[in-house]
Amino acid sequence: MKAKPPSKPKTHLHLNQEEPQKPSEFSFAIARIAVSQICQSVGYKATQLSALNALTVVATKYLEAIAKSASSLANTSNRTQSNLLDLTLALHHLVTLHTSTLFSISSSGGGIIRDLADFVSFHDEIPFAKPIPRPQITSIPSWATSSSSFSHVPKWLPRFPDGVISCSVNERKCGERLWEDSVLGGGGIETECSTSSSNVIEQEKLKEGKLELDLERTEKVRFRITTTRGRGGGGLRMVCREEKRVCWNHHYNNKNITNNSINDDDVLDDDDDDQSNGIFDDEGLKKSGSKRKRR
Amino acid sequence: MNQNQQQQASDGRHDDDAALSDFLASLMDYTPTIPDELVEHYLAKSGFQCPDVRLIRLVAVATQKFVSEVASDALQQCKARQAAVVKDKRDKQQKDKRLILTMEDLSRSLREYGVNVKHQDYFADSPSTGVDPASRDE
Repeated sequence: MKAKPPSKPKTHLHLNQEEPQKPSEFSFAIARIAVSQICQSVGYKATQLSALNALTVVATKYLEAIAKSASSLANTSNRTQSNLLDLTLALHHLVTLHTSTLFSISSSGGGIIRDLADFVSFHDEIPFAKPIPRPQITSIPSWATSSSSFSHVPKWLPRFPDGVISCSVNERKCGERLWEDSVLGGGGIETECSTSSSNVIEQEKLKEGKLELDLERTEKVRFRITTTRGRGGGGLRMVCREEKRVCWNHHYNNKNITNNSINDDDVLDDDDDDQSNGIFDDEGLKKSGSKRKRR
Repeated sequence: MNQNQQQQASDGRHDDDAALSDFLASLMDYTPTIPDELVEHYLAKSGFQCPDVRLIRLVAVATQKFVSEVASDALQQCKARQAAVVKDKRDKQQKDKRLILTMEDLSRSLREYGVNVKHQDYFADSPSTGVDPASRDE
């Protein structure tokens, strides 16, 4: 064996000198103390620092592997909390990875907990060197801490802000209300649309106008055959509007055709006016009707 | 006969259940070397949720068992190596008797558990470290 270096690191000396800053370093330092205690109980007098670090990393990975396996087993059973069965299965998976061969898995299948029980009974109890202060939990207040009547909300969810629960859900920001409230409150549609009553009146006007228009349309000509702008009245063009009763004003058409092109333009302009005013404008229609009558 | 076997099996299962419940009850009084807080931290980090202290201690005991097995394997390696060396040099026996957990033993024992530990054998502070002083002067 090689001669030992003069500055052989001693575990208990070095552990006290370091001041871990991050929580991961803190937990790692604690795990290192625990692992060094285990090594001491096995019979070691000193360790290399690198060997102790490596063993601590392996131990923490072992812990995390157990936890991951157990939690994933619980999650596959639609649970969030792991129970003894998950833990036993996880330990079984992990222990068979490093101890059993394929042959001995079946023979020593369920003996893991028994091995642990033997370990506990045969080994001396070595508590941790120092008591660890519990970290002050200043996390988000959860449903578990608050006494609430919302039994359907899971406990791991954070609590609602206080203002949300106190104010009614039905009160909205812009003065809007839910449809159910407006109907069940007896108001009906009128109360619902009270804020926009002028709009309703307009709509009603429009409806009435449309009705009047329809009544008027039954009497008046909606399809007109006019000449195109081309001279001589060679081609006839049909100006088609809504689907209305087709009415042929022969006299008017004949008169138009016989007229000169300025009159044709006039008729077309009239038509354009109607289009621009829209179908709800009955005054324009009447004007055009009177124009036509005049002609 | 078949019934007898079933009877025995059920008895055995019953005994197992009783032993298991006894063991879990004994965990309430047992304090593992790995503290509960540390185990809880690592378990919570991995998404393990359990309010039962006994299960947390079970995990702690399992980890402790694993670590102590690895360490005792490394100790056997160390002792065997020392026994081989001590034959040659009787005078250094007292000095070499100290049991030190070295990387060499640890990597050997961890290899049996499926963990491959690679470590640097030698670190040098500067390129001239370890060179013969006579050659360094030149």
